[in-house]
Amino acid sequence: MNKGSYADNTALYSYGKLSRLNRRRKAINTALIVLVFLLAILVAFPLYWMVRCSLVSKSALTVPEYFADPPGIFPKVIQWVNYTLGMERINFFQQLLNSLIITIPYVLGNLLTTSVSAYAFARIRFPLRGMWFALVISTMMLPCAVTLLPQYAMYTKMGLVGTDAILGGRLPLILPALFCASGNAYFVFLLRQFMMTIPVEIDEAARIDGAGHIRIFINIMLPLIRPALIVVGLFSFINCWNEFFYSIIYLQGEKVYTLTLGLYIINGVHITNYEQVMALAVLVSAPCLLLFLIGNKYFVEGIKLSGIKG
Amino acid sequence: MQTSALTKRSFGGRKNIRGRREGATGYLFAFPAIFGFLLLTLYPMATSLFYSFNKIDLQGNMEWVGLQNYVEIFSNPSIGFLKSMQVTILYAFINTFLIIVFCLVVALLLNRKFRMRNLLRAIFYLPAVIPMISTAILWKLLLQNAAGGGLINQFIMKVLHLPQLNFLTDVRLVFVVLFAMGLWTCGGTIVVLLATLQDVPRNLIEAVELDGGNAWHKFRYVTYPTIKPVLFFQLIMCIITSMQVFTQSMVLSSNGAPNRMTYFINIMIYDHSFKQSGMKGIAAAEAWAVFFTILIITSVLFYFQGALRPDSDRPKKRRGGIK
Repeated sequence: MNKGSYADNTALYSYGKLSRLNRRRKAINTALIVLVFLLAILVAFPLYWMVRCSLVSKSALTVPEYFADPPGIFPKVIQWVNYTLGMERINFFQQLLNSLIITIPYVLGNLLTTSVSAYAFARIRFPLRGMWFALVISTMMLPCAVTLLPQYAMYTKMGLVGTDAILGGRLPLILPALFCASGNAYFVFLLRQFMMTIPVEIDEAARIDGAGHIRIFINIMLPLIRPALIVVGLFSFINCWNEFFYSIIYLQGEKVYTLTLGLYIINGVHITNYEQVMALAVLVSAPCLLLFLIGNKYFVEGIKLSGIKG
Repeated sequence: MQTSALTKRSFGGRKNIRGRREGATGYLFAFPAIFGFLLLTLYPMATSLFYSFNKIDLQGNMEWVGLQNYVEIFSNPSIGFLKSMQVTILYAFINTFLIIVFCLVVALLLNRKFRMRNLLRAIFYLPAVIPMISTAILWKLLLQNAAGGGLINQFIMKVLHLPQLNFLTDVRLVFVVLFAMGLWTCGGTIVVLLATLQDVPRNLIEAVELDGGNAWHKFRYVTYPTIKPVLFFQLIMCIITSMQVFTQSMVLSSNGAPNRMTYFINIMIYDHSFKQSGMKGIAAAEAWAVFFTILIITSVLFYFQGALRPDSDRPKKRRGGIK
């Protein structure tokens, strides 16, 4: 078909027909937007429910206000005391501290080692670079079970497991971040992709001025990839904070339990006071939600960066 | 050694020294990643393969038994490997299907201009950052029986006037709980797909419109080919992560109740490695069997992705025709 025939076709439509078609399309568009709003409400509702349940009395949990007699929209009694009671039931501040003891070195170590490695894969020519990069990235797809037992045996042999070990046996949870292992290879990939978008001419100019790789990395690359570093920091904080599989294996005493583990234990032991469990669930989720709200822009950018090039 | 071999090939004279120094610097910078790969991935993988051929007792003494562990996990139903594999694959496939369809639909719906679009995107993504433990506890509460505070069952009883559903104890309905959690936390995929949809060429969509194509044609011949690589990557990652479901199942019940329907492979391997005694060799064999299964599934998917390529090339020819 050539262009002329389209023009003829459209000319055949009368004005009324076109506006009717337009109106129909607009109606469909509006309907779809309404639909996506409804879906969003459906997705947001459990979040609301989590906060709501953390604030109500036990009776409002079993008979929520919608189904109560007479029905209402908001719970009658708001009990902030659920939070303090919940915090008393687990050793909250100890566990918060435990979470931070793991998370802070994890995030900082992750930022340092992934950016350094990413720089090597993006900018330095060294033999077998492609092979090493492919191997490192392929660990992303590896099921964690296949390395589980030997890793445990290795850490035990090194004396890193158990509450009497260095850092109370927390080191096996931090070490993977220092060596871009167990899923952290993803950040190497992400940072490398970001570095590839930065023009090589910039470092070439610096090199002519006599700068080596270390200088280029610290003074030129790091400032330029700051947005990507923020993304890595946010993601690795959330990964580490939410970590459960390795925590339940390596953290072997109540003294070193993190908040996620504490929440798991209390869910298993006490099922009766759900409002207190929910209060704790809100508290454990709060840092992640807060970080998300602050860094929303970076999250979206980071996900785009990682997903598209995949 | 490798360094000198390569530099000899690519550089000469003075440059040789520089190239070698460059190579050494490269290895120095990449050290964390390479060392991490060797120490925390390659060595444990090889060792766990070795474990899987051994019988390991409580003291950690090993006895070479060849393929016996593998024979046992495939032939002895009391170990629970085959059932665990079945429920895991069932869960992973349905979960991935639901997630991909849901995310694609939401991304297509969000891919139009309207106010509060970014807010909606944030809402869809928000559940993905919450710890899985919190998510699982929340959904467990939502789907509990009415007396325990389960909102959905209260709704079923008081509004629909139907008997309540035992989501947590029924062998089939327990999957509803898991799928609900999966769908609730898949916001990352929505954001990725939505971002990819920005790359769909506007002029081609308009060309299909001019050709008299409907929404399905636009999707089939323009949108789908553009987002296909990303969609495929998301599919693979989704299957791999779904196969490794752990936290959700641990919160529901740490022993796979009801009737071992939630005794997923990671739960089983965790159980055999650390809770049961003298089953470490079996656990290693199971881990390698899982690794192979994932390898096979991804290879098959990659094969079909390649096999379907001529199909997705077709609209390109049409594109030429239109212009």
